[in-house]
Amino acid sequence: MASNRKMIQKIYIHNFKSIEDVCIELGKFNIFIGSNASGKSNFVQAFKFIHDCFAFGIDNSVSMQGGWDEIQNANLPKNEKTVIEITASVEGVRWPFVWTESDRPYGAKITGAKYSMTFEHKQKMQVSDNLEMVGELIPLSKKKNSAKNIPVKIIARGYSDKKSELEIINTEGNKELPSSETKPSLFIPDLIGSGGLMPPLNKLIELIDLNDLFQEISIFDITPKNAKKGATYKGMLTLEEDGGNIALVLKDLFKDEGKKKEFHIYASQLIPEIKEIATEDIGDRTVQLKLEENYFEEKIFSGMCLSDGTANILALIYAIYFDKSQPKIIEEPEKNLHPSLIGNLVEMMEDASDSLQIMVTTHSPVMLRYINIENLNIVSRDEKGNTRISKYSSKGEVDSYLLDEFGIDEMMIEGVLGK
Amino acid sequence: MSEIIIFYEGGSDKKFIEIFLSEHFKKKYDKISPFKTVGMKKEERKGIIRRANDRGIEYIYLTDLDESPCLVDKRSSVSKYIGRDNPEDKIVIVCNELESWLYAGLGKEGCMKLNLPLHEKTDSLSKEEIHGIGKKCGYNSWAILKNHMINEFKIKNAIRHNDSFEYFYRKYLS
Repeated sequence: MASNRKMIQKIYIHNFKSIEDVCIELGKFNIFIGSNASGKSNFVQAFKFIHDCFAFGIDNSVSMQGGWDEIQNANLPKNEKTVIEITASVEGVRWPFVWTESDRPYGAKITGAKYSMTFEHKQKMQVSDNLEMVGELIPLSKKKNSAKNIPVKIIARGYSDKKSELEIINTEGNKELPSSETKPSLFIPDLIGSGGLMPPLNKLIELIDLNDLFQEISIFDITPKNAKKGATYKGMLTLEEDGGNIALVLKDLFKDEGKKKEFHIYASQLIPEIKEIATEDIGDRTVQLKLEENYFEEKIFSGMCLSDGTANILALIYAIYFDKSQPKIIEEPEKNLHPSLIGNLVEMMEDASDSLQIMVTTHSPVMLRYINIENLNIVSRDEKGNTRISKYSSKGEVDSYLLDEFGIDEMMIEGVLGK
Repeated sequence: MSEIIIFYEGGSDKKFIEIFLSEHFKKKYDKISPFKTVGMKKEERKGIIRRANDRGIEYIYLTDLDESPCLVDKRSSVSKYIGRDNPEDKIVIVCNELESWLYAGLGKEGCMKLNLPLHEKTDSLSKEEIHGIGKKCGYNSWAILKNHMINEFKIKNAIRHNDSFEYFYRKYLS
């Protein structure tokens, strides 16, 4: 199957913590700014919740959020459903699915998917989920004057149990294609690649597996103090949420000389004083960071001697450029950084977002100075205390004037941003 | 003591301005003060220029042509930020973007070393086009490619392969 790069295009959240209703479109690089307690972290938790549902199961993920009472919005009735709906683009997924019409075979190409999960808490938790895919059926016949592509919507109700019947709707004529005419056992070597029989129809939905999209969501909230401590060998080689195992993941990364060199280039762009970053074993199966600066010959700073900002930067560089998961959500990356470095950090995140999706939460007005305003989302509370999120848009002359004269950072501090 | 302020847009330009160009300005000026204009308010810019004028400090305002249809239009929009009383010859416009200077500075040897195609003139290359060329040649990160480009940058190449750099060099660096 061709590459399967997915990106979350839109998220709708209903009845989740301080969020009553939020629907927001996402791009490759997204900044969420809001004051303390505006609900930025609750928004992030919605991603974590759906990640945990796929990774650990629903009961565990509810428990990890502190139970159902903690999940539900305090303004809504107890029997209100919670809904999280994610629309994702799916690049290049060619689905070796066949529908035949008058013996003419079609393959399907999926370009987008909308997944929704609804949680209903009565006496027992009830969860239903649906996957709706959009794409087109492509005639596989190589004959001239063959049939045209057919735009379709393919719906799998009860996606996660993988037993559902597929409903295929021709979106041009809005009519359902008869499922009896699907021939899932056809052999289509050019679509399957090396060749092989088609999987059974009900297994086809596994091909557009959303597990990798949701399980790969990663959240980073770097805690420099933890990042400076040593990390034990007994641990994952993926960066932990708080960056606490940065020494271990760098030890592994630096086995590859090319990657080590790349890491140093990124680090030198944020901290030009850095001459060499390495790791050292300090006994008791523990590894810690060590660092040399250009100022001193043979003076090595290790572990807890690093500044909080340096530890934060090293963990962020790994998270941004070397951690393979995506989308990435980075909470307050500007922590402990000098304002002049924040612009460079934004530039790095924008650079990396060319090939992956990044979401950043912040309440730093300095960060606003450096971002492209189109990437800005404003998080605030309404009069009932519910979190609302809206894209920043210049509302005519008044906002443009304020932007020009005061700058977006001052507007944020004065509380007039997006008002 | 002679001093010059260099206003530049920021972003990709930072390392190039702060390291490479500053080095070359040191031959003519005792003090070089680079100021990043991204995020800077209109009044801040005007204030710095007003104080520079009062003290007889030279300044140049380096900006990309970007979406502007022509140089006159760009000069006029930049004048809004630096004050209309200030001479327009202080404004240096890079055609199209500063990345095109970096690419020009590679020349034949640099392009060979970095495995990039040589462009006889880079003036018309936009940032997006240069990023695209980099990607095709295996550079997934612009930050890494930019770092290599700065390391391989040679003035003689940039003069030869980019007209707006040549103008800038003759006026301020030679």
